Amino acid sequence: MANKNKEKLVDVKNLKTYFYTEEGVVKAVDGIDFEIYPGETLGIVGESGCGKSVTSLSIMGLVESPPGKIAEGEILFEGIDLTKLSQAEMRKIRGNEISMIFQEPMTSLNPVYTIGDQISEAIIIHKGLSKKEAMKESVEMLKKVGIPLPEQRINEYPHQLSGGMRQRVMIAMALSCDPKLLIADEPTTALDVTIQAQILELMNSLKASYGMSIMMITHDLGVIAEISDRVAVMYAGKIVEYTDVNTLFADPKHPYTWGLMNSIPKLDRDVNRLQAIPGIVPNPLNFPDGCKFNTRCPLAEGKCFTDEPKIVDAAEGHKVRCWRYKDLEEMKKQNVKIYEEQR
Amino acid sequence: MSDKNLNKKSNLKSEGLKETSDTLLKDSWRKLKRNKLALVGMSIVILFIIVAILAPYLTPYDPVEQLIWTEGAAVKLAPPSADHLFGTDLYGRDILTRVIYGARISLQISIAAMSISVLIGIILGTLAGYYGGIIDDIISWIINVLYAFPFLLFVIAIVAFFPPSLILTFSAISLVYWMSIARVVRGQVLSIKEKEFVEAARALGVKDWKIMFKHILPNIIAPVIVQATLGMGSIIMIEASLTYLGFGTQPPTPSWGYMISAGQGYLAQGQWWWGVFPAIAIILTVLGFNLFGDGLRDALDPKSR
Amino acid sequence: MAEKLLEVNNLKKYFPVKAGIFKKTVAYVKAVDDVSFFVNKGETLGLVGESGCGKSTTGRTILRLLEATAGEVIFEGKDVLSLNKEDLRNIRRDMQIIFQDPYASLNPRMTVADIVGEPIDIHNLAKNKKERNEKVKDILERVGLGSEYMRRYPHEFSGGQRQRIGVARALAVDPKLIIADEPVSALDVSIQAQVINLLQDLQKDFGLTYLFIAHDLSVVKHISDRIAVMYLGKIVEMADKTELFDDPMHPYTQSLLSAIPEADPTKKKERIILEGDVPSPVDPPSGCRFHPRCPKAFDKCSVEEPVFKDYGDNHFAACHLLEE
Repeated sequence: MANKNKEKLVDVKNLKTYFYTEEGVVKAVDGIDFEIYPGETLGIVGESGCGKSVTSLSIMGLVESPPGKIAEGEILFEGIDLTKLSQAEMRKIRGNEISMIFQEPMTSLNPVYTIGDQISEAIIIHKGLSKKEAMKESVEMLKKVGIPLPEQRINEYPHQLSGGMRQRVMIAMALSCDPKLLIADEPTTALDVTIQAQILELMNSLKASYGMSIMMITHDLGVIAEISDRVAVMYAGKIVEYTDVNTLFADPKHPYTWGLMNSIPKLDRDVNRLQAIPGIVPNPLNFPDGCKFNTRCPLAEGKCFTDEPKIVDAAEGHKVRCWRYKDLEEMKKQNVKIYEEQR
Repeated sequence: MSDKNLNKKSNLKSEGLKETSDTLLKDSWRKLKRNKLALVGMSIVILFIIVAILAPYLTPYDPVEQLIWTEGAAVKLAPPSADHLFGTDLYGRDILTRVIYGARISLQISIAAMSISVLIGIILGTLAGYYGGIIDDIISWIINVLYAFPFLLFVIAIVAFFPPSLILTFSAISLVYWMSIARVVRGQVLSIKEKEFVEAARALGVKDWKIMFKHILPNIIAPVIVQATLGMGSIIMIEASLTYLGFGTQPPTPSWGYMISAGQGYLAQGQWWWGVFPAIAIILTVLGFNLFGDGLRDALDPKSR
Repeated sequence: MAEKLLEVNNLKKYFPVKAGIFKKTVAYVKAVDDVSFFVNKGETLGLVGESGCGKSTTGRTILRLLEATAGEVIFEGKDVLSLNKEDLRNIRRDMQIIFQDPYASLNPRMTVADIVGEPIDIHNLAKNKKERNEKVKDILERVGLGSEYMRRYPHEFSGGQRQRIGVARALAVDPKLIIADEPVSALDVSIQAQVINLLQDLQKDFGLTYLFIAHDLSVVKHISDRIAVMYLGKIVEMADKTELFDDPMHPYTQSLLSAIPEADPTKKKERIILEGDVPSPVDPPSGCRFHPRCPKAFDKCSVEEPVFKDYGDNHFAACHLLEE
C-alpha cells in the first residue's frame, strides 16, 4: 500500500502533451499531476481519447515527434526530469528502470526471432551477460511468469504461442531487467476473461515479489478495482478525480466517475435499465469552454459552461475537478438518479 | 431545467459530428497538394493532355505533308531554328509538330487500351475475388499463364498475325495489360468482401451482382485508379516500342516510336533532333504518369496522413 | 408455455483446412460442433463464450451467411437451411444481424439514407421514394439519430452513432429476430450503456427477439432472459439467467463467472483460475472438451463425451459430474 512518507518514484507535474496537426492543436494531455510511490499500483482509467495512453508514452519518452510534443511540465523519476533527458539517456532508463507492456503482444514481438532470442536480447543489453547466461536467465524468467516447459518455449516463435502466453512473454521481457516501474497499457484488453484473470493474478504476485510500482492503464473499471491501490480518472486530457481505490468506488465525487460506475451492468445487482451517460466525448480539436464534461453532465449549469474548474481536495487524499461535487454529494444521499432515463 | 436540457441536446448533436466533413476526394487532394513530385507529375500529365487535344492550334505546320517536294531540300533535316524549334526530318516535316501530334496518337491508344484493360480487369478480377473457388482458379490460372509469356513478344505475335491498324494495336496491348488490373481488383475484392458491411448486405438479401457493383466496386475504385495511372506510362512505352519495331502505328501517322526508329540512323551523323525530341517526350510523359500515380497512391490511402 | 421462434438442432459448421498444391482437405476446424438450443418469442437469449468458441459462427450459420455442415435451423416452423434462394431472401426480412465493428459494418461509400434505405428497396417496403425517405427518417429517429444526418457518410460519425445506424439498417425490414453479434464490445464504456438501453427499448417497442452474442458476462446478464455458454464449439450449459448465475452447474461456467473482474475493490472473490489456454478446435480434446483445463476432471471425462441434457426447469448442461 502506498506510504505517503515514502519518496515518490514518479512525480508528474502539470504535464501537457500536445499534437500539432494540420487541423489544429490536439491537447491530448492537458495539465495533469500525479505521483507514483514505490511498490504501489496506480490505475489510470478513462475512455478512448482521454489521454491515458499518451500519458504513458510521455513518461516512456515515446511520443511520436512530430506531430507530438511535451509542451509543458515535468516528469520526475527518482528526482530526475525525464523530459529534459537526451534520446540516449532516455534509452538507458527505458527497459532498465521503466518497462512497458502493451495491449497487443503480437505486434510488440518480432515474428522472425524466437522467444529466447528476444528475451535474452533485452538481458544482454541491460545486464551485460553472455548469450549463454542470458538464455539461462530467460528460462528462469519464463518460469517466473508461469509459462510451462520454458526450456522448449524459448526456441519457439511468437506465432506458436497463444495470446495469453505472448502477454506472459512480454511481461517476462519487461521484468528481465528488474524495472522500478512497469507501465501496462491495456495489457488484458485483447485477452479472454479467463486468461485476463490469469494475467492480473500474475501481475499482482510479481508486484509483490519484485517490489516494483505499476502504472495500469485501462478502460475497464473491473480491472482497476482488481489491481490498483490508487486511481486517476481521466476525461478529455485531464484528471477529473484522483484518490485511493476503495474511496473512489465507495464515494465517487465527479459526475463522470459516478456515471461510468452506473453505466456498467453489475453481476450482483439487477437493474431494468442502465443509467447511460448521454452524448459522446467532445472532439479534441474543439473542446467546449468551461468544464470539458459539460456537454454530457446532467449537473452542468452557469459556471460550468464558462469557467474550467481546478482540481481540488474534496477530502483528505481525494482530489476532484468539478464545480458541483458538493451538490452531487447531496443528490447521492437523496438517491437521486442523476443520469435520468433518457430515450 | 428542461429548457437548459433541450439546449444541451441540440448542442450535443452538433458536437456529435466531427467538425471536418471531409470527403475522400477533398482529403486526398489535400494530401496530394503536399507532395511536390506528384504535383510535377500531374502538371506533366495535364500538359500532355492539353497538347494532345489542342494539337492543330499549337502549330502552323501539317504533321504528315512532306514539304521536301515543294520547298526544296533546304528544310530537309534542318537543325532546330526559330522556324522549326525541334528541327525537321528527312521529309522536311516539322518535328515539334509531329511530336505534338504524336502525343495525340499516344494518348488515344493508351486511353483506349487502358479502358479495355480496366473493363476486363474489373469484371474478371471481381468475379475471381468474389466467387472464389473454381472461377477464381480458372481466372488466376489464365493470368499466371499470360504473365509467364514474354509481354512484348506476345503482343508482336498478335500484331504480326493481322494487318496493322490502330484498333489492333490497342486491342493487343489491352489483351496483355488487363491482367495487372485484374490482379489488383481481385486482391481488393478479397479483402473488401470479408468486411461486415458486405455480410450485412447479404443478410439483407441483396443480390450478388448488386453487392459487387454497389458495395464492393466503389470501395476498390481508388487502387484501380492508381494502377491505371501508373499503367498509362507502361502502355505509352509499349506502344512506342511496338511502333519502333515496326508493328504499331504505321507511317506516315506521326508517332513517337516511329520517329525514334527513323531518326536513330541519323544520330551518329549529327542530326540528333529527329530521334532525341520524341524520346524526351516519351520519357517526360511516362515519368509524369509514374510520379502522378505514386502520389495518388499515397493520397488515396486513407491510412496515410 | 412460451412459443419458440427459433430452434437450432444439432448444428455443425466445419471449416476445411486445406494444404498442399492440390489443396487437399487435411483437417477440419470444428467451429460449431453439434449445437442445439432454442429462442422463445420476445425473449433475449445470450450466447457467451471466449474467442474462438464458435459463438459468432453459430450466429452467421443460422442466417446462412455461412453454409452449415449439418443440422437444422427452424424459424417459425420453416427449416432455414433447406430454403431456396428466393425463400431465403424473403425470410431475411424476418431475421437480421447487428455487427460488432461499427467501422467495418457500414459501407464507407454510401450515405446513411442509402444504408438504411437499401433494405427497404430490396424488399419493396415503400411505394415510392418519398415514402421510403419518410421511413428512413422515422427509423433513424427511433434509434436516436436526427434525420438531418441522412445525407452524411459513415466516417463522419462516432462509434456509438455508427452502431445506431447499423441497428437502424437491421430494423428497416421490421424483423422478428435480431442476431446481435458483440454489438457493444467495440464501444467505450459510457457508450455501451446507451446502445444497450436502445436495444432494450426497441425490443419492447417492436416485440423483437434477440440472440445476443457476447463475451462480456455482465452485459449478457443484464440484457438476457436466458443464457447459453459455449466452449470450443459446444454449448456446455444453458439456463435462465438468474438460475445460471446463482447455480452454475458446469465447471467452465463456474470458472467463467469467477473470472470476471468486478468493479468493486472491497469484494475479493474466490477465483477459480483456469490452467492453460483454450485448445485448438482443429484437434479438440477427446471426451469432454473442457477436461484438460477442468479442475474437477476425472477418468471418465477424457474418454466419454458428456450428454447435453435438461436437469430440470430448462437448465441444460453437459458434464459427467452431474450424472453421479
